[in-house]
Amino acid sequence: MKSLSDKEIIIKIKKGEIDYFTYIVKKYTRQIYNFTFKKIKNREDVEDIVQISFLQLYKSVGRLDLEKPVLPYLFQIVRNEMKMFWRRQKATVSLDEKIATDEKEENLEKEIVEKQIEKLPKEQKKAVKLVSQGYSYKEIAKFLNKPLNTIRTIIRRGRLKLIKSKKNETA
Amino acid sequence: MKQLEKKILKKIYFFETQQTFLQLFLRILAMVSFFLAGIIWIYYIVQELIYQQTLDIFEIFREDLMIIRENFWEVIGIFTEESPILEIMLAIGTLVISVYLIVKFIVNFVKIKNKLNSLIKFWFAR
Repeated sequence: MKSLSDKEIIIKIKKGEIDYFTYIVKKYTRQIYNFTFKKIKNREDVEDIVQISFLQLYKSVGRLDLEKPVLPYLFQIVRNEMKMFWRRQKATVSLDEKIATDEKEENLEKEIVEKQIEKLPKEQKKAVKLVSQGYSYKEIAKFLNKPLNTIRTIIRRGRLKLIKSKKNETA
Repeated sequence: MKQLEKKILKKIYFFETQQTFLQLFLRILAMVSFFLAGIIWIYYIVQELIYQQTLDIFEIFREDLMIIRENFWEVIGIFTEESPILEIMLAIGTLVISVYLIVKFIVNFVKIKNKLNSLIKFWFAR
């Protein structure tokens, strides 16, 4: 299999050679699947979300910016699909107060974590954000142009700081 | 994972097959409709001109060059006065739209051909 860059693949798909989408699917399915599986533990639901996400990506190929990488865009689609999934799940369960408070707490916690991430040093902030977006350590090392072990250390330190500040806040 | 990849691709190809054939059908329908409408309008205009005997004024072109030169603008004036302007505008409009659709179809033909090739390869060559 000749290795093509995402940009080349997207150009080919835009020209109507849709079989090149297979490259995208083969390249990212595992990553997307693992990312989704971390949040939703049901295999069937995860598979559905992954399928819909790739379909959404395919539908929006015409609008894709060739200069930007595909993966972050795909992750954004997956995140949106997961939100929709949770919304649908809630619609099927009777809405009691517990769910509402859970959601509030979840949002509050998310906000706190986001604030804490913003407080981290520049490098740690970037690396932690990329991890939360689902990038592998290898990819982050490539993005930030740093050795893999350095990235591991940066992320570990960032995480420790986050845990510490979370503890302080709850105390 | 292979199974999931297959499912994803099947879903995408199914969507694309629907889209491609629907678009192809609608485009061809639009092209043919506008082209036929243009032809019908032209036929109607010609019939109208024959009925009004407006076309007879062009017999002047069988005369000498001097006579043609003297009466040319008068003939054109009479023709524009007697011709059904609204129908002519409609005919031109529909023909322009049909030509635009045909040109657009020709420009996109490679893309459509590639898509059809990919779809055929996926559904039949497996």
